[in-house]
Amino acid sequence: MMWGLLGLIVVGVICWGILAYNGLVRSRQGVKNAWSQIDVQLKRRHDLIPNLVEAVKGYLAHERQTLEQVIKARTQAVNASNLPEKAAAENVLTQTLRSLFAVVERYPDLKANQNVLALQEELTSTENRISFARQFYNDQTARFNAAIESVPVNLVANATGFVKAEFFQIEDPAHRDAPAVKF
Amino acid sequence: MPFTHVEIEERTTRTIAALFLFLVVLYTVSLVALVGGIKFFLGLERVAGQRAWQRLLTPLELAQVLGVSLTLSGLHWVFSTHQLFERVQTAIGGMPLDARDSYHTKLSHIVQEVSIATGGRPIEPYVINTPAVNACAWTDFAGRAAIAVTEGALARLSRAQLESVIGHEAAHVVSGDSLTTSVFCGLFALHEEALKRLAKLLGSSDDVRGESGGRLGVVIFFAWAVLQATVGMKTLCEMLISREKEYRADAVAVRLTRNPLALAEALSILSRRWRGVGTRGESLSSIFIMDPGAESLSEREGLFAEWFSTHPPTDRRIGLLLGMAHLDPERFSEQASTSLRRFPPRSLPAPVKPDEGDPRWMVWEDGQWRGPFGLAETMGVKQLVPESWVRRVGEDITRPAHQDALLLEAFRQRYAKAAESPHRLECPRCRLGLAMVLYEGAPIEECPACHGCYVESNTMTRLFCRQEYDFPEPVKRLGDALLSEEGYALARQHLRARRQISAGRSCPRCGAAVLRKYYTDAYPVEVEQCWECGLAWLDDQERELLQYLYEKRERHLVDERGPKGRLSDC
Repeated sequence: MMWGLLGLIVVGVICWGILAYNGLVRSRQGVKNAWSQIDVQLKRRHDLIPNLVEAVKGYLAHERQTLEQVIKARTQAVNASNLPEKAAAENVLTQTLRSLFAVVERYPDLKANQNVLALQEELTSTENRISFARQFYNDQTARFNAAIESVPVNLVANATGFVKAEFFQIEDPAHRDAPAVKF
Repeated sequence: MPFTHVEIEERTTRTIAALFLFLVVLYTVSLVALVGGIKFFLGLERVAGQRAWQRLLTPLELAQVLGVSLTLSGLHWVFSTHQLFERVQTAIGGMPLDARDSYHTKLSHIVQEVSIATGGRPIEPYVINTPAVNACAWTDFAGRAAIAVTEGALARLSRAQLESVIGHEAAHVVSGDSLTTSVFCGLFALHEEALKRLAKLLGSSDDVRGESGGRLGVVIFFAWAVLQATVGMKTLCEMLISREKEYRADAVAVRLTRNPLALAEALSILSRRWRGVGTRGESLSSIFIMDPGAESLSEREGLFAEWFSTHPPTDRRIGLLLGMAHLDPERFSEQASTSLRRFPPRSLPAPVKPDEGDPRWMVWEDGQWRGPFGLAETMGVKQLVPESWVRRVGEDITRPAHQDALLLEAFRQRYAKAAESPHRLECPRCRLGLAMVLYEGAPIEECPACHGCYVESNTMTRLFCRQEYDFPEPVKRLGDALLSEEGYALARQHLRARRQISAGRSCPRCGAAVLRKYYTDAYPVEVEQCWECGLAWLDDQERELLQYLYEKRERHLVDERGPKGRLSDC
């Protein structure tokens, strides 16, 4: 009887181990899927930027420096390889795009141009999608990291080589300002 | 998300099962009352020693009644949930987005952004063609989900506010509440909506007043009785639709968008404007972010309101959101009241300037030289014919127009266009091909010469709601004159004398007759409109005049009657 009970416990532990492993695999796939969403939106932004530069360069003959900064930042973002490098490069690209939009605001003819307005809307939407995708990715990462560090699942995680995923952080100073009521 | 996927599935399944059980109980109770009542009134034989309930129905009869009610419930369920998505969409008037409209493009982007935030749940965006400010979501058993926003909401809400509203609706979709409310609408609200429309149709029909009024009267009475029964069932069933779902959706929207203030602002704007009461889809209140009924049970507290209303009080929702944003509710209310009477600064639309290199002409007209005009303006000169005298700017040669190469080509195109398919849009005044332009984000077909335009009926609603451009002074003066007591009385006199007459041409889209008529009785601006498809031709500045009249009336209603005054005749 004792051997039977022991056998039952061993089988129970093995089943639990399999379930825990499968849960970790699903969680890790969720993180990868969330990252791929960010990748898709980042690529979309990279593809929109040449169109924007083309649409505005005729009006911004005296703002060559701003345009060159945008092109350079885009090239660096496309060529970035690992996650910290990507995050830093995308941050620089976001800042240069903001400077470009600030310059566009000073040219009424450019502001009224339908192509430029449409591209601005596309880029704004892409920025928001990156933000939401990043948020979802970080939520999935937090859930995954919590799972592999929690007892007793961490035993299975350490034994099968699961490692923590990195968060995707982009510093945005605007987020630190207090909210203002805007009707 | 606050719940796991499994928890959401379990909760949704329990609620759907409860709805079906409610249906079975309803039919059973109704049939028991019907059969028992018939037996009682017929005085059927009673066996001594039987209990009271056994006199009403025997166990066999009870089993039969249960069987019949199960069958009826099943049929009601199947019939009501068949093509649920399309039926709800039709009931609320949800239309696909216009890819040419910049506001619709913005809405499409926002829905995609929020969809990413939910983890990629596919959601279809729709728009409801009304100036009301509201939004809703619905789903079906196949997992197809949609969010619809009114044109009024698209025009009035900022991007952040719209995002928070869409986030709220997306929360309903992801949490399964949307399926519950959609099924509820399918079971009761859609029938109520259909019966209301039938009753309205029959009530306004001339046949009712004529010889066949008697027979139709029976039909109307029957429809009314069924409608009252449906409304009663719906009211009872609303006990199963908890107010708590709105609080949950608000909380999840804040988690998705990280912006509680934007949602508080949006709810405040929705609560102070017309939400759609009295329009189609009003019966489907449970799927909207805010109850379309302005003075409904939803704004009240108490047990009765808790049980029978589907939405919590708006003030409480805003209070909770402001708590999350750590903002003072009193200051928020003050700013909200001020904003209703403040309109954003606007400018006149930038005139389209021809490029400097384009040729210009002077045209001899009425004994003098007029111009200089670009090519389109020259061709738009009303009396211009190939024999008219013209002179190119920069040249010293006066010649007939047909001897100028560019003008000759333009004349050839004009006459070729007139010979093409009758459905190709061209200016009825100048015979020039129309250009598709965006006016306040909405696509209209405008003549480059006289600036008249064709506007579709649903596009007019968008132009009424949007307030990007200011109005030229002549338009303001004319609009004020029309809205003055004397001006309006004169216009009404003219209306009675000349209701509508033929414009002498057919609609370029559908071929039906075009009528010259006042846009509506409330907006006495004469336009040419197709009586079938509603495509309207507006001459230069008529579009701006209609918008000006609409906005003046809206401001008048806000000032005189308070924020919940209704708008009519738009």
